[in-house]
Amino acid sequence: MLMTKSGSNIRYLFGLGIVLLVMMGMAVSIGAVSISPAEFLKGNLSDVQQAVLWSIRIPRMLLGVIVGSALAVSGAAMQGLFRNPLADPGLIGITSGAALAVGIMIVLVNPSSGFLGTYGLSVAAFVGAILTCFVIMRFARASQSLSIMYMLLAGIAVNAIAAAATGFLTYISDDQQLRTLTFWTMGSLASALWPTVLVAASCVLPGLVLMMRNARNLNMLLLGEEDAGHLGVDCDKLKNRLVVAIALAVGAGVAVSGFIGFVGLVVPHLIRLFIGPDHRILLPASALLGAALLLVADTISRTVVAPAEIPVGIITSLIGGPFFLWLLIRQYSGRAQ
Amino acid sequence: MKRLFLGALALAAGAAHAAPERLVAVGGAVNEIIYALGAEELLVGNCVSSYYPPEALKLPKVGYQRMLPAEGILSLNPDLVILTDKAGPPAVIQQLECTGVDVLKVPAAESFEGVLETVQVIGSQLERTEQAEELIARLKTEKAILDAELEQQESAPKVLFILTHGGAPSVGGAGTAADAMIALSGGENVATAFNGYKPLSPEELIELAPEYVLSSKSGVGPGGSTEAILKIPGVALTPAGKKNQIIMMDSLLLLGFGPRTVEAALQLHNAYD
Repeated sequence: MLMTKSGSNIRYLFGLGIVLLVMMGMAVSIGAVSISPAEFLKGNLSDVQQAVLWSIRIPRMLLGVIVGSALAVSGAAMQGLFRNPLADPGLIGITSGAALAVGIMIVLVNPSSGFLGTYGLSVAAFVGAILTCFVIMRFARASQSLSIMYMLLAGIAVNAIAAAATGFLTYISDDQQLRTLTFWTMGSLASALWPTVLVAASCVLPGLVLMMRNARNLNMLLLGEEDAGHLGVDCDKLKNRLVVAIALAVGAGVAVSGFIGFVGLVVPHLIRLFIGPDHRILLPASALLGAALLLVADTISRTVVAPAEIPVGIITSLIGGPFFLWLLIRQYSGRAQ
Repeated sequence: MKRLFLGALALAAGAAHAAPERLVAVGGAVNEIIYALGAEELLVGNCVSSYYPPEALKLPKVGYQRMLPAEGILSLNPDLVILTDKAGPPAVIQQLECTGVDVLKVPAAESFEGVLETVQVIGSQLERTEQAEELIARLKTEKAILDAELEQQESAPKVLFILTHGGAPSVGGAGTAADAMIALSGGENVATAFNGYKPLSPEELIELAPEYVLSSKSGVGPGGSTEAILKIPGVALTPAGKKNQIIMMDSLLLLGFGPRTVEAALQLHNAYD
């Protein structure tokens, strides 16, 4: 599989790119306010339609692309890093770490205006994500041979601790803070404004580039740490670099959109299933498919109960949960044969 | 001369800013005030908490006031969105403002004076100042009747508000709408040692020894019952539980602080013997 011809790889990426473009077009033209592509091309949109398009729908679509690709590529990189198909920023506690940091920001700091009012939650989510990442890495490194098991167990413990601390914050928060916390946890792209999009892009893009530049090293890591070391990969350096990149992308994504589950798990699996495990194509393909899937989910969330909205995190978990179960069953039956 | 000047000023203001014709009301009390001002024909949408009067249920709903959808609201093509300072998320309010729709933010009233102020603000924005003044006068008359009743009261009954939202029941502490309503009805809130809604242990509940337990049920969907309140651990052992003095009221009526605030306070007052 690692020997897939680069020609067909480019064809796959090209195809996924077209899918993403179609989804972007769909996300921009479908919504509570009807804007038909034909009217748009002719240029006769009303003022309200113009305003909806430029101040609400386009920033939201771009945020969906940024967050979707950040979650999917981070998921893929993390699965490669831990050599475990179940590693997901959510499952091993990175998102709950970020959520805890955001909770601390909302309840204890409670910034209402100025720089912290706008970017406080993003900064907190980023710091939370990177701290959790390092805690889990430490535990995973404690034992060389059992690192995967340690990583998952550490993830469970970190999840439990973060959940308890978030629960405590919930207890001491007032009504307003509680609502902010709850809706943030559900995940939504509704808060997309142009500054949010720019801030998210400025964190996510360097993270994605860093991960993709390490695709070859991730491929060698698939052989095991020792063999990768023989092939000239500095494993510790690679791990540290990837952890920073993942925390950057996931932290920024989670910060602007809250908890959007399962994109990081489902998308890389789909790509591996249909294209293969070569990280050089897995990572960019995950970015394209992750963005496209999140746009579909967000379009559903914006339209099914219009004029109201369902948080997109609920939709992705509704799709992702059953998929995850199917994945488990498939792996189990594969082993039994 | 002064009157002429004011008239010209009003005319100029009117020309610059025509009275809104398509309203979206966010918040149960805001919606109720618009109905009370007789401006309901201007409404093109409201939120899930706007369930009184019953006709309000027929309007398109833009969801819950703390999680508003910007596009959903704009799809109703309003020229004015009236919401309270509890509405959010903040980014969505910013998005609405970006698109040039007028947004009127009124403080969420939690006192009788607050209600009067909200009525006045909404009335002047809708250019229904006369109706607003009538409504304010009527509310003041009702309040005078309530005050007269309260003067005859010998001692303030000890009241505890319990909020049941499916999860652990919480009690209304200082600074809550429930606390304000208990005070308005001539009761004494026994849970003022803390701010906001907090879950209490059964022991603390017994310690507070309320003579009346007050709770709310939502106007739509299944609500709580007195039996359910009595089953909350500790409640049965309080004076209120022993004498079965559980008061259930509609949550928008009791906690909404809309035009029926005085009516609610009177109703609550009459429920204490």
